[in-house]
Amino acid sequence: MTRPTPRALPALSRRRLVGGAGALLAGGLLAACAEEPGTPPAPSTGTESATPTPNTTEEQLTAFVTAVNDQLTEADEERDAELLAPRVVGSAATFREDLYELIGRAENEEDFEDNWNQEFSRPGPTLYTALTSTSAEFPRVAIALSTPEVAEGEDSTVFSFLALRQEDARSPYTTWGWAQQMDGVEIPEKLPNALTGSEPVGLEAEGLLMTPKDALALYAKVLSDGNGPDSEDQLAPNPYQDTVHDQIQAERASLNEDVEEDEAPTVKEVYEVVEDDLLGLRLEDGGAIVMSTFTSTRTLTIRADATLSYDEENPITDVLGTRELTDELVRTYGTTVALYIPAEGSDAQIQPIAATRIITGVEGS
Amino acid sequence: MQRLLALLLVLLGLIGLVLGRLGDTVWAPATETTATVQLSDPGPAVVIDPGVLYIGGTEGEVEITGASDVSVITAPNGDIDDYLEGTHYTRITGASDWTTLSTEEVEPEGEDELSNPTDSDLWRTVETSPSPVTIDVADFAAAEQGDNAQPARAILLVTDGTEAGAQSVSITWPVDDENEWVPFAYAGGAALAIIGLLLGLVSLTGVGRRGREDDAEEIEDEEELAEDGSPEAVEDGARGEEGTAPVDLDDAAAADAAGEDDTPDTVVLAPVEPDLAARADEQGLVDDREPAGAEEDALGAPRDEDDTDVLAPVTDEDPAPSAPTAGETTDVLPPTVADGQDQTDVLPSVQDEEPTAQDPEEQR
Repeated sequence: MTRPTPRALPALSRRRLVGGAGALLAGGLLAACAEEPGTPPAPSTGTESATPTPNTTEEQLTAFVTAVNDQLTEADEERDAELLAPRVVGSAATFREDLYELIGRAENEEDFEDNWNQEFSRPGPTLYTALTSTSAEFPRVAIALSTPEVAEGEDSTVFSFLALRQEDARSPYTTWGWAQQMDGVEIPEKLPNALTGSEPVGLEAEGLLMTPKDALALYAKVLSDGNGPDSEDQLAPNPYQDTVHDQIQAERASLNEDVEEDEAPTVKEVYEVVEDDLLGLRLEDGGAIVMSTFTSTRTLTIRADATLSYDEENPITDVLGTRELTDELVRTYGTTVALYIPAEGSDAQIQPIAATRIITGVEGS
Repeated sequence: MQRLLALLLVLLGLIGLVLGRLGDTVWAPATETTATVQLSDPGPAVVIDPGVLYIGGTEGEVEITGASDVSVITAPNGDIDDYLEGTHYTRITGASDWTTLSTEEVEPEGEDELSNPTDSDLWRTVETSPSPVTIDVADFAAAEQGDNAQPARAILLVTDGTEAGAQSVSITWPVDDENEWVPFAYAGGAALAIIGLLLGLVSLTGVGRRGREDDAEEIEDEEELAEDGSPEAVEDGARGEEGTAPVDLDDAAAADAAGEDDTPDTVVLAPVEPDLAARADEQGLVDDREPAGAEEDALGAPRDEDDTDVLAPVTDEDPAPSAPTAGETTDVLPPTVADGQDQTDVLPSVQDEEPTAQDPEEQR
């Protein structure tokens, strides 16, 4: 009985099998060897926002407001105008410097707080909201609404309008003035979205009921001369105007009591616009908030051969060093104001919404 | 041989699998790539351009070294340019390859100092830390999401405004990479191993159709050998199967080693058929040689009883052949066929009457 022998693969089949196996492995290795790392792509700069964005963030503006408040506080405590830099500049710095000098002439230190404290107004240290320009060009501007410090648990609805300006890329944001919201006047509802920013407006900006230049001039005229210049009744009533006019009337009344008309002194305050101080930003309704500075001179003219006598000491007499005047009494003030100018074609009036005044000089003889 | 081949295939398959595993582990490509630049006299400020941090993705780490504390500042991209106007500084603009950051020198003749560079109102964030400073790319990218966020911010690097803004900057990104050939190695190795295992199984069992075919071929081979009487003829017959490899006769030789004839020079002839034998008797031919029967031929293969070798008739004049004795070589036998010779040329010219089966007609 023979045992069957296993039949081996033909030689050619073995060659094919081994050859195929080798090719399979070699192909895989070659496929790997052929792969080269690619070059890095160019950096992607992302997509630009479809809408313009503000130049500054709320965090940045908070820092600016805090810095201004801190710098003013330190300077006021020392009554040193050099401490106002770099944040307080322009009219605000000039007004503060004049006040420090004026106070320096006063002799009554005991009543200092009662006599002068109201002159040291400062914008609130807490940022509420802000309007900032969207243009990347310099100078850049912003109006920050801030609130004063209040006790814990209390709210303050009185806002300060702080004018901010950055002259160039290496300059800080500075302020040339601030104005406190007038009692009873609401701020405009259509404030720009803080995320989108605002368009700056200049003195001759169009699309408004009145150019900022003309609106400021009208307000200054009305403050000086009353409602007469506002024949078209374009300027809305405002507490600051009433206060100024009431003060003048009261002073006249006091001076003219028991005085013949031809011997009564005259009192007149003339306002002028400081056109270098202008900041305007467009609102969502097409109107604009405009801030500027007035200087005013209140002159009390004493008729010839008459003598003005103050019965009691007051800050003016303290600075003058006398209670009797025979010629005139001149007081100068600096006032920062904020106006809302409606859009062109609107039926609304120009509304002064904030004003802060500071005495800057007293002269008399 | 088949088993050897199977073993070889399995071995190759295992090698492929091992290679694949090595490709996944020891030979695996780096998991991160780092692009670096060493800055020599870059100026008091170095700016990393928008998007450079994200060349390799939104994950990774930036490392910055400086001579002193390093301030990392972000701001609107245009603001940084405006702030640095007139100043000598260096921009990192991208990566020339995955290991090198590319730079651009700006205003080489510009000012080499910045006054209080961290105090500008233009800066949105200022972070000052001792060198080296690290920036997490993912955190940086996350800060660019949300309202009023600026995408792809530039980064300003400064120290104190008098020294170099940075001495070196490197950005490392994670790399999710693998050797491309690993799947092929796994697949190829597995395939070879499976093929080898199957081949091995087939070679071990060796039964069924392939076994029966082997038996049939073996029978054919023996028949051919009986016709030719030479081992070469049997081998040629086997080789005659359409160019296939020659049959390995070693197995056959080893299988019959027990019955091998110890007289290699003796060719055992097949038994003569009865009719031929009778004819030979009539002619006075005496064939007293040993019948082939169970004896082997020179190749050791047993001869079948049906195999016959018809000898030439012997005449009266011819001396009667004597029975061969052990060790003697008979002169009557035909000479050994040389390799390659046709077997028909060797045998004497006799009537080649093949023993045939009895005619069925005659049997009735």
